[in-house]
Amino acid sequence: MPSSPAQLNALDSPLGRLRLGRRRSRPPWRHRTPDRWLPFRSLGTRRLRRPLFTSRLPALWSVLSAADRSTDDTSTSDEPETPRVAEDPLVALLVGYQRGEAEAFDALYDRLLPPLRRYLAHLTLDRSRTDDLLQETFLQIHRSRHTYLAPRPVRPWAFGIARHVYLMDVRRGTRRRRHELPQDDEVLELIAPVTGTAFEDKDLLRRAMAKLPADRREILLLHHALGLSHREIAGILGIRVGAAKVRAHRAMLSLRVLSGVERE
Amino acid sequence: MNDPDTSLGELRDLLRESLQPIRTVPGPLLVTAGTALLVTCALAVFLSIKPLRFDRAALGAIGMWWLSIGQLVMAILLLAMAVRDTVPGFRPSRAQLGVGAGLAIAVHGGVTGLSWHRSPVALPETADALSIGFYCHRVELLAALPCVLLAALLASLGLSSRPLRLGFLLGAGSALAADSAWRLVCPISDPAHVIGAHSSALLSAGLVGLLCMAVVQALRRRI
Repeated sequence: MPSSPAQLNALDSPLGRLRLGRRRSRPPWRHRTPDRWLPFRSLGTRRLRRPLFTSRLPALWSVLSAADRSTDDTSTSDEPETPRVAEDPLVALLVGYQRGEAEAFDALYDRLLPPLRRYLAHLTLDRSRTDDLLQETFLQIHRSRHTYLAPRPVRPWAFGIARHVYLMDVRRGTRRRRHELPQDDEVLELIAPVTGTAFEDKDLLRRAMAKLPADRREILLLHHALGLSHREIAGILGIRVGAAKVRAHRAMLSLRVLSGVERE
Repeated sequence: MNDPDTSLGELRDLLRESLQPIRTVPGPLLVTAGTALLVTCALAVFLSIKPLRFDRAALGAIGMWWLSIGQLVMAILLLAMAVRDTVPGFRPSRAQLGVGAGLAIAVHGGVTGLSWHRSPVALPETADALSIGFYCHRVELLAALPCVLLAALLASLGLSSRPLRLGFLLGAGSALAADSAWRLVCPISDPAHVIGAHSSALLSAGLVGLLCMAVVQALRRRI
């Protein structure tokens, strides 16, 4: 067990950094009156000893984080808050689309189609409805392309429109039961497309994802699979950044429980 | 049943055929700045026509001008927040909207309380409180109406998931701006009059904004 800040630094882990941060920020008078702070300190230690996502779900975690994630951030606190470099081509393409360039439109369409299909499949759990909403989303993107303001990131804008289309559809009364399990394997494939792991894990993950409530499934997809930052997710969902982090954490906990890795 | 990929392909061809250069909507900042400029100009014209309240000496510069400017800034912030809601993917959170609305109410209440504290002017007992209150209510509503309509028009160019809430915020923000000018004219600082006539105008303007956005949504759905 490391006892000095230097040893903690050497750990080079989120856990180590957190502990180091707490030790540095603790004022000297707190050491003199340990009993007064004992309940809080013990609570904090218990929280710190239990890593958020990484320890007890190695197989599923690797499956989930491997799913076409474009960045390597693994914790909620280290997320990038600026638009990613990978989005720059999308910005250029959307600006070209606004100018009426057919090549830009085609390229943008090809790039946005797979993530939007997955996102809508997550929300609807229904293949035919996903395809209907996908068409509606592209129509709405075409109609609302004047609302995009470069150089803002494109994906939150596109997902925001897809979510708007989904919500309009829900309000029209075509809502399905939230926990309804999809029968179609293709939808399951869309929910958690994974590579490089055993089939059992993938299947388990998909089933668990399908059992999750729509809002939790949505935030897991947006953050862990599509790699959007919490700030971007907050903009899409209309919630605070902190709320997005909490939701992502709770969604991951639910996934662990539903997949049988951890008991409730 | 149509193959979804075929349908998507057809849609893609249709969209490609209809491609043409378009102009982007002005950003939320530009819309807010434009609206703020318009509101300020309208208020300046309005104040040049109407005589200022007689107790301005008792109120002092802070109670007279700075409180109004503060309320105007709050109104513009509320409008900015509402306009930002029209950009997909960059919506303000419910908490932010709640804080904005709460701050607007707090500022309006604070201005009312401070005005009453500095210069307590109530209606004479013989005056018809109802008709005077209705007059103030009507003037504020009419003063806010152009701003509500303009803001609703600009907001309708965007895409909001919560259009009715957005309309309400636009209306309340516009009425708050109108109130920041009308309080320089109306000398009655009695909280009963202010809440009954001026604050209720905020609510009415909010409902007008809500109605505007509902009409816009219905028209859009029909188109």
